[in-house]
Amino acid sequence: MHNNYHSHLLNDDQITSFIINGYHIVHPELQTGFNEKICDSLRSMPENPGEHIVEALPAISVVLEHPAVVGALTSLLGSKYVRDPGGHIHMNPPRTRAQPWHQDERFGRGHQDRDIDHVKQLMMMYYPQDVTDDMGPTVLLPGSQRRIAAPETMVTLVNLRGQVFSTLEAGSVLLTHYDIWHAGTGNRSDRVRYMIKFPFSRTEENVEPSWDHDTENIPEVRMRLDSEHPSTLSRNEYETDHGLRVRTWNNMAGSAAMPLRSEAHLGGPWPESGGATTASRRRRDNP
Amino acid sequence: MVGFAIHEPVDSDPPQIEVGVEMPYETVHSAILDGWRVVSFPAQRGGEDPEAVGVYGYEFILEQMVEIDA
Repeated sequence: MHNNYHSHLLNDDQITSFIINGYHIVHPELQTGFNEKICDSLRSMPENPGEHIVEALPAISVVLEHPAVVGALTSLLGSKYVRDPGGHIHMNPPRTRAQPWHQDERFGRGHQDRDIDHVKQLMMMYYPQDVTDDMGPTVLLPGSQRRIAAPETMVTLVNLRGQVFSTLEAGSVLLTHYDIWHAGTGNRSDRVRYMIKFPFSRTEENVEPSWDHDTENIPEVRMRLDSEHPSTLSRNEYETDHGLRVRTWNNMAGSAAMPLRSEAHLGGPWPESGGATTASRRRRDNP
Repeated sequence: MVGFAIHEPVDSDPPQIEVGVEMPYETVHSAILDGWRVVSFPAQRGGEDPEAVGVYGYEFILEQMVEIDA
């Protein structure tokens, strides 16, 4: 592991965004031509090496060990994180159809055994070429890592409010909460879209934040955790999702945990005629 | 409206996730006002686990008949 990853640790605001949305994008500075060489190597592979990616593509270690990637992984999974067995090279050739929404499976665990209030496992996705709108970008549903759903309940879902697409520059690394809803979309271009995916896990709980934390940021963190909800939530889901966001911070932050309940978001202007009946309801409906 | 998919009664691929699509309506009610009719109401049910956020419920199936040039 590089010794100079400390300057690449995430800050409180980035950790808060990850908790709320379930993903973070890293832009490691890679040598000129590196991504092209990776693409050339992928094109010359006679078949998919399965989980033996590093053996088949040793140069990928440059990405796995890049200080910016190590710094982000350390921030999100603690300093003793490990790369799990598995991983996959995704090749999305021209004229494919979108995958259905799904959460990745985990061996031996049912769909209900998700980490809805913690970050214990991540998926890293490295894109060795630019990914444009028409090249089948990965689609994510921000905040959906807290939503437990059996696969069969997703089959009728297609376009969802708030969905975001990973249209990224070559060399970008997308880190997602393992349980976020996602899918590969259809490639309507005439170019192949590659993506290399690796799972990572936390091995120990933090006793203090493993990122660049400053206690003075706690009020701002609290405000965001209380008020930002990227997915559309029903009224009876709102408080549950809010609690899960705060519990996730607490499970990651160790000594920097905060009280579960806060009534600060209930304050604010009186309701306006013709609008929502309370300020909190207005925030709920108009994040 | 949280999500939507339009299934047209013609020989075509099923709908899929696409970049750049916008919700056709803000609410089911606004779709009804635009001529769609409800052919299936969602099964009303409470959350299965009060400590978790679950599946998207309230799935309406709407239908609209339109004239086309044969």
